[in-house]
Amino acid sequence: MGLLCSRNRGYHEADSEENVQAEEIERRIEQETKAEKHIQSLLLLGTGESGKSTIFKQIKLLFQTGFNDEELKSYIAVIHANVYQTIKLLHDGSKELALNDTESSKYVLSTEHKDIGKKLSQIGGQLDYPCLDKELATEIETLWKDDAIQQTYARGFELQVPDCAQYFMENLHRLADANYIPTKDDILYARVRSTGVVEIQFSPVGEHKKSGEVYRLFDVGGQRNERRKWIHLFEGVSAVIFCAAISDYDQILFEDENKNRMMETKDLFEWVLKQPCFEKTSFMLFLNKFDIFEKKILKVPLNVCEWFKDYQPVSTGKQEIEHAYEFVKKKFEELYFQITAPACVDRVFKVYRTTALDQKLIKKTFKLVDETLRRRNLFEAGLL
Amino acid sequence: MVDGPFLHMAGRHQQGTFYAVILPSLRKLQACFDQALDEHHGGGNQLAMEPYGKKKLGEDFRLWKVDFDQEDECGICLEPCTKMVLPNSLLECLLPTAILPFEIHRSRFSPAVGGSESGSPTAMAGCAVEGGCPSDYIAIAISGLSVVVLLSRSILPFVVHKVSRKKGSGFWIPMIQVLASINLVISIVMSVNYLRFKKRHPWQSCYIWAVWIEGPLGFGLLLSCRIVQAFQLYFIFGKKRLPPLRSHISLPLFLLPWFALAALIHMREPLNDHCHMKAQWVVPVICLHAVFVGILVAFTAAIRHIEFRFNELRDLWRGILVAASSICVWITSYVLNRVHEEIGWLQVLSRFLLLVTTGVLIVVVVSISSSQPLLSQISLRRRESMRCKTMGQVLGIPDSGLISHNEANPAVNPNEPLEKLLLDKRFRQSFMAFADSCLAGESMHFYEDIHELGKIPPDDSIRRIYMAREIIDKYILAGSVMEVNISHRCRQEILTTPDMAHPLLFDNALNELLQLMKMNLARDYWSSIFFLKFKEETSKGPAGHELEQVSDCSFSPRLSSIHGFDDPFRHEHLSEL
Repeated sequence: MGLLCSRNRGYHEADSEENVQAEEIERRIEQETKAEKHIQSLLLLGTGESGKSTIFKQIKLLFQTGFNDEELKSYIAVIHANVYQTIKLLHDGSKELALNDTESSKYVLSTEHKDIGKKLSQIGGQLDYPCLDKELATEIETLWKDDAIQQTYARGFELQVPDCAQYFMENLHRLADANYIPTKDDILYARVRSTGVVEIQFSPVGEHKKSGEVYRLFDVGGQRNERRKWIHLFEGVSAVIFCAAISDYDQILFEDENKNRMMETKDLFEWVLKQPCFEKTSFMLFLNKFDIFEKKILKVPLNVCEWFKDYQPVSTGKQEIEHAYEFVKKKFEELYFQITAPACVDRVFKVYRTTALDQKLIKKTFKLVDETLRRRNLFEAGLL
Repeated sequence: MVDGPFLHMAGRHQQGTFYAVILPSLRKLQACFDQALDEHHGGGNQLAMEPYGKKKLGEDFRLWKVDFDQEDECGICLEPCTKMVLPNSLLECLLPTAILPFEIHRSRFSPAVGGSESGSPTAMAGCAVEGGCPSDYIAIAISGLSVVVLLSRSILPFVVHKVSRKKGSGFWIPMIQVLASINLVISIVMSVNYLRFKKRHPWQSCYIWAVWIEGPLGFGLLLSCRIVQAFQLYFIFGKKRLPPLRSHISLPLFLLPWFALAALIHMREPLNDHCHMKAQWVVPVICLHAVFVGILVAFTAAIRHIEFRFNELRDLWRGILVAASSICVWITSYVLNRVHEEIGWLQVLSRFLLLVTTGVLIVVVVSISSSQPLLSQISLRRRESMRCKTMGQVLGIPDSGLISHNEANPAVNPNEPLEKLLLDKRFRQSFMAFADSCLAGESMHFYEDIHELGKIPPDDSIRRIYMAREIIDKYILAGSVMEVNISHRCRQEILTTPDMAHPLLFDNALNELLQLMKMNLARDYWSSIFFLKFKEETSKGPAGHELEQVSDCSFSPRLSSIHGFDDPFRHEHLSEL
């Protein structure tokens, strides 16, 4: 009898232990789901090379711990790869233009640089790049300064020359240093095509430390093949940050050289706006790469892009830049209101002028975004 | 446009003669008779005279009466008919039939003569003409069964085995073939008299069924699809390049002659009420059928020396044989029916044969092995072949998709270049799992498939072409399920290559993707759980216990959760296990 009793008690004890554990687990699950609900997810969408990953890096630098030494060192390989790829692109591009273009003579490399060109082109085509040392840096610099290469660079919109080309070419000797550690700017300029999805979680700690708003930011690839993966992220998103590079109006796509980049941005923006899961989502449109836009608008007119073909330049200098920017902004706003169905009229839509490389500007912009989202949340909770 | 074995051009001819010759002379007769009556009775109301005329005319007209009584047959159909007694009733007999077609008149009056002949020939003569014979229903059942078999073979792989749909012509051409087959069967059932319809509705119009649906949307569409498939095989395996004309251009091109002929027939309207046409129209129609079979023979003969692995050639030859024999059957039955028009059982038999050969035709001609070779491997009967295999496994590439656990486990050094590390199979699997988890797996799957392609010897061009075609369909074509992130130039180089069996075909694409993985994924991999797990597994060694403690490094998930259920990478990954 005693045995039975004790055994029963044993079972009871075991049971109660299990019960306690089960309760604990359930409590934890509940907590986490509650926590999840407070996390606001933000999506960075846009076409390829529109600046999404740069903004992602900025957020990391601003609101997270930033990059530690390991990560900084890991970017050295990326920066060197950028250099080699750029110079190879320019060299091969000059050869092609020398063959096909009507004014072929200005794209022909000078004879003393031909060997360097071949060598660098071959290095650029390898899978494993050599470390950038002083010797190679000097050679690359000589080639960069060659007239033919400069002329090819002026035609860079036809090739897929990255925007960081000029910056890295001007800083070659610093990059080739044996003890080189990339600066923040170097990392922001470094160009890597994103694939798949990356996320970070952060809290925009401002003056009110108790705000406790937690954001989860998703960065995606922008090329056409990457877009079929976006659909997995669309549920329950608080806000979409759509990046549109306004300096792209004369360039063609990486994945389809028959399509203009601005037209692709327009089509993609339409598609994203029409998504049924975004009926209540706030839209923040970042008109990005304003620094490049400023310089380009004075040389290349806006009408080269079909969407902007009714643009009339009014003046020159700063006024012209402002006028052109306002025109582009108006086009995007018109498109938004044309597409938006009556049911989604009360969703938030804001346009921001950004330069993703400028940290102060991004900090300010993000503060505005944060405020808008908080106001929207309070509004929805009925407190405003 | 099939002028089956059903005759009765003769009927039309007889009707023409009736209107032209017989009716006027009978009317004259009637007029004479009336005149004679009038004269006899000094004029008067003809109608009032009729019954009187019968009685009063007596001997003068006894000859008429006697003649009619004795003959007792209708002047038109020359069959004994109890309804006819007087010349007036002759006219009565005539008038209704003047409106109705010849055969319906026959059937209306012939049952009355049933006593002298046996019941079934007339009943058969009835159903031979109108439809509804038992053999007709059997034929419809057989063709219905063949449609069901066809549908099950085409659709079940998608439904039961949950194979994902291929994009592009690989999916549409077999589906269009199935549709065309169904159209063919239904058009034959509707245009030839299998079913007895009480009323003729406008949608039963002959022109829709026998002309448009049988030709351009039935037999023509079916054969054109097969020709397009043979055309693609010829270019891919014969000339080792992708076909210059996409299928959505070449298919309408092949269908043009069918539409042209159908439009011509529709304008000239040579069909009669029974959907039969004159001999001079039948000849071009049959010629077009035969020409298309001939084109299919030509393309198939051009690739006959290639050793295909999925029985494409065998399917093509079988289809050609059955198509040619069914055309022969149609021609023979048509000719026989022209020659022996009156034999009812011949009509019924030829109708039966027509539908049965069509049923056999659609089951044999439609084949998916050319467009979707892997699907054709899935047998619905055998249980082991329920899983969809990869092309590598089917082609017999050694160690395709398997991990061998007997390999030595060298320590993985993150400082080594990625392409060296990827040569180790277990590292590859771990890296692929990581890439799949953050939705970037297509590059790794592409790498795997290129690796398998590399195992095929360079001179075995047929297997290389199969593998290359599979890779292009899966990874390179715009909009494909696992499209990879490569530049426009790279993609165009692959799609317009003059030699699909070339060993360096995918080199540039592979380089671009390896660069992408090195710059993007590899950095995140070293700090991910997948790498930790991999280190644990490799450090365990053969003894089974851990040889070194895993250092406590903070790992950050690149992507913590995926919200979607139909993750293509997870699905693909699982199905390959």
